[in-house]
Amino acid sequence: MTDAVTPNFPADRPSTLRRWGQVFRDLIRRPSGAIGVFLVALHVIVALISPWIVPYDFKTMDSAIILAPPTPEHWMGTDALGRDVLTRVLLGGREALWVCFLAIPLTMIWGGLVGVYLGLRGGWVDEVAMRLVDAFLALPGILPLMVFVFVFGAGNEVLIPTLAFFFGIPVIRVARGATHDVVARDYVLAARARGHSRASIMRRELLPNTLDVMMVEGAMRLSWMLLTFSSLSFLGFGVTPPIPDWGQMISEARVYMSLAPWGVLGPMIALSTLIIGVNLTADALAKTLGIDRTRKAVV
Amino acid sequence: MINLLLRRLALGVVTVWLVSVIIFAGMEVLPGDACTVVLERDAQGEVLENCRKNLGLDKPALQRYLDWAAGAARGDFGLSADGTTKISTEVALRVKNSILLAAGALSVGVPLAIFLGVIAGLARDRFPDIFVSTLAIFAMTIPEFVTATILVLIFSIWLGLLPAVVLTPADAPALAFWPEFIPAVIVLIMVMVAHIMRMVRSSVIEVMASEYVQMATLKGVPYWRIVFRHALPNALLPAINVVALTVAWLLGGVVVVEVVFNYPGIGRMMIDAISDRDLPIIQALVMLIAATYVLVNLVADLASMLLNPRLRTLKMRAK
Amino acid sequence: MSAPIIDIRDLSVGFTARAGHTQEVLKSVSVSVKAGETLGIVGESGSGKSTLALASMGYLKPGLHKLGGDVTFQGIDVFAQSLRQLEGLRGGKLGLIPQSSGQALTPTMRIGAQITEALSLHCALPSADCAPRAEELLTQVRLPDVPAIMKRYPHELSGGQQQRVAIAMALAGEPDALVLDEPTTGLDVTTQKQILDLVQDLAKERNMAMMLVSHDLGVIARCCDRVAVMYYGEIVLEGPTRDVLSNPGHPYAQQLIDAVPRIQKVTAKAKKTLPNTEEALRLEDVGICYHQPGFWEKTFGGAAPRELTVDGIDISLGKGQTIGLVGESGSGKSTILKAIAGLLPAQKGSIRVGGDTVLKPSIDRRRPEELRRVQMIFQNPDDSLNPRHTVAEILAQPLYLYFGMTGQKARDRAAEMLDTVRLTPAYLDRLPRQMSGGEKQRVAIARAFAAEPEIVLCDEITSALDVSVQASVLELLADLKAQKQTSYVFVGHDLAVVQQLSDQVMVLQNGRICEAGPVDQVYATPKSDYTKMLFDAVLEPGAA
Repeated sequence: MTDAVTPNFPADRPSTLRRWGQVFRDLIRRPSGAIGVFLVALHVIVALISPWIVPYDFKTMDSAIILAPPTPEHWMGTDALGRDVLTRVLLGGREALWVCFLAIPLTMIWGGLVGVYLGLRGGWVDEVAMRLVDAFLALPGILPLMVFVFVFGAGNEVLIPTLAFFFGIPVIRVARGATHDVVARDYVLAARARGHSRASIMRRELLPNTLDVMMVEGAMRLSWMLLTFSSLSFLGFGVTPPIPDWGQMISEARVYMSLAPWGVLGPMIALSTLIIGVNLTADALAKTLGIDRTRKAVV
Repeated sequence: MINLLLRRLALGVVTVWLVSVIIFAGMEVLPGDACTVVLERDAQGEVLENCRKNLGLDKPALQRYLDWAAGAARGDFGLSADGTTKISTEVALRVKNSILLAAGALSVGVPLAIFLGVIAGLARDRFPDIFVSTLAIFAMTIPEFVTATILVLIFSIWLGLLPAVVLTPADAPALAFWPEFIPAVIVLIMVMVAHIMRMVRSSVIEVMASEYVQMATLKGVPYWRIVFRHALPNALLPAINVVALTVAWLLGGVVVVEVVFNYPGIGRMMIDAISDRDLPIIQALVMLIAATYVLVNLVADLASMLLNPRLRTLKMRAK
Repeated sequence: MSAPIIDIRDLSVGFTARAGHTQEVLKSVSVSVKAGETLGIVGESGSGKSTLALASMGYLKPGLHKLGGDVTFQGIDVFAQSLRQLEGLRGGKLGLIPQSSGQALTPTMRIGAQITEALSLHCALPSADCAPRAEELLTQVRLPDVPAIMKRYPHELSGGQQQRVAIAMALAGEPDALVLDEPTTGLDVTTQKQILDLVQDLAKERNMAMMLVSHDLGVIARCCDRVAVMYYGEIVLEGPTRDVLSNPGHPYAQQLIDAVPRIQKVTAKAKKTLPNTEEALRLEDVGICYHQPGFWEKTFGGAAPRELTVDGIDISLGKGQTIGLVGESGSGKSTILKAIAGLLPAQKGSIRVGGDTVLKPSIDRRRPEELRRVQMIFQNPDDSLNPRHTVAEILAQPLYLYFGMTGQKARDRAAEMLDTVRLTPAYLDRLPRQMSGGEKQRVAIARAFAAEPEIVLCDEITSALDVSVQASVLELLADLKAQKQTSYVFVGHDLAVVQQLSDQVMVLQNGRICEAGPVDQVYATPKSDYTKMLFDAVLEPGAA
């Protein structure tokens, strides 16, 4: 059957880009949105420029100044190997941001497409797929990730697809639910009655109308992914030393906490502000778009 | 009603079965098996073959799956990879400890979360709501190991009130963990309260804006009577499912918290098993946790069906 | 003359649209109701009539503020009362019957508990006497099998029964005045008539003052002694019902009254025979099961074969003609439309278009050319246009799908289509949310006609619109039919609307044909009792 393509009209419609521009302006008008966006932007900028601004090399050890308290030379002191903590804090978010910012779009695309398809398709395909989704959801959260990292190593080429795969599974459920809400609307019924193909209905009717839900979902999942990434790193299943990472730094500095409590403070503050920033942004985005995702049980 | 119950039960069984297939297949696909792990560098030639023969690893995969699944169904997961411990005995101990931790967190956390959620929902956008909701965002976003570290810093290092880690062995009686397990419980409570509270809050807001609450107001029902008789029974129904997910999360091995506080529950057993490459233990734990997840959600579905007159009678009619 | 029971003086209510700017919802409104009198308040959506009704109970929806004026009930200033005093008043001497009781009854409380609650709050009854009194009230509102109903939950009752429960609840406080906020909206005509009869009887018995809010002039004409017409927060006209309806003397009120479709009197002799044109649509013995077998049933059998929801439907429709399907909710009229469109595959029987082409039951197996010939227009234009697409994109879909038009060609054609539904090309780049309900429905009509269909299925397409908009949409449909020789299958619940547009009519009851024939014949001499009952229940402003 023939399929509809978006006709190219000379006079353009109120563009999607302009709509999202408006959403962004509304978003930063909320106090939580403004703080959130500021924190995320700060972290992204620091991650981008930190290699050029850090005062020391992140792997240079100096046995003379082990666990030194903050001094004018070392603003945040030094760690157990005599490395400058400030340097490592500034660099410590790069891996997390890089991995998660790459994995989240993958997550949302694969989870979203599968979920929307299942929501429209229904029937036995949906039934079987949802049983599989249930089975994966029943697996204990972080365990499959640890197993993968343990077996294949902690490289980004392992972490990104693994995170994207496992985070995409609950997204299937969310996208499918959002699709069910849209499929019941008359405009989808009208498109079906006209005889549009499934692919056309997905692209023209379903995806644009589930996009808001998916954006909020993506922002929320990003904060959880950062949380998971740092937890993995904390447990020793993340970034390979000596590359600095906050989770790993906290785990190392904890041991000497009674001697040098400043060692944990830097990475803790950095990590927490990043995740809170993402979360506040997601929360404000949900409110701006009028989507209440707390109402549904988190899957 | 009975029909529906049986269907839900059947779906649960299917899910657990699929989990078992996924795990078994996963472990098959991953490189290495029990023998390569135990023998390490000696794992080659005749030695390896003998070891595999002894452990029954030379049989076809399907045969091994059936043997394993049959054992698992009876609660017998065989021996750990190094052949020293009976998995079910060790797991039982850890499960007991994990339940203890979960019970501690739930008994305080659920009532607290519902209370805060109701308060925030009723005082929507006013001070109590903004205060509680802001705290909740912090509690649910700051990583558990960060909160845990702060608690240790304050209570153990600076104030010296509590031990920084749990030193009680895994097989100690339940009471022996008091008061060592308090910091772990506090960390868990913070995360779960935030999640449940946010859900209860939006549910309360939605119900308080409903037409039947408006009608009750215009019927002259006093405010608090509206809240308790008309609003809360409806607002708290959806909380059942979130509480169920929380229970599943708590019983599913709170790896990070258990590691931080050195608490001997299934979370730490899991991470130890991974480090030791002890495949039989990993398989057993995952099966157990998945079954718990399915069971808890099943119970929650049944509970909301029983408590919600709408679902209850509709289903009975449908039959 | 006695003093008014409810007296509203210069009441202004508004909300803060943005900082420092107040939007008025009620502008200096004054009305009053005396004991034994019924005041009707009529207006279209957004006129502020519901706000006025609730304000008479001292209640404003969250966000609204009183800007000025007074509301007194039996001489008491309700807005000056403490919350405690208001609690005593509301549901006591001043009762409310809400718009949709299905939403207004607490879902987790049994009917008995909800009524006894009202009793215990407002009557100094010993708790032992509450239950018998509640049963008494439910009997008074003519509910059957009262002891069983006491134990039911709201969702287990029909819409009419829920409304009766709400009435019983209002009566529990022995009210002197009742506020009725669109009390019969969403109910079938026959149920509506019963509820209004009941309310009127009770009002007479107790000499109550009533304030009845409705958008339906027929309801107002039937029940009210006086009527106030509201327009954008103001009362533009007030007076005795008969005078207002026969001689409004206000342009808006006149327009509102003229727009109400009325059943034309036809004498049995005047019935015209249908012109013989070629057949456009033919249904033979069509049967549809609303419940389509799901995956589980297909795989495992299980559930017993369901009864057909709709069965034995025969339709023969000529080119350029209209058949009207009428019946109460659940009679299967929309189901038939969905079966013709293929959205709900018919289980048995045959559907033919243009005399020869047999349509397969399911859309998936129909060819595009077959699909093009049958187009559907939906009830609610808010729901039938994709909120993310502009009008140009909406109209381009059938143009591309059926005629392969793209680019400027499609845009030009879309502008032409807009012209046929009397909208300017300026609408091409609008999104649905930038248009009014009537404009959206016109776009939906344009989209259906863009396919150049032979048959257009109209599913209650005017019921979501205000009467004045409804009239112009109906006129448009009639013009398009005359122009393009399209055949309509028109589903409606308003008998006057159906008469206006149709050549044939089919009365449906529980999924079966109850009566069918040329429209004049059925309207002049209805044969079945059910049809007669439907006609009896019709309320018209003129018939007061």
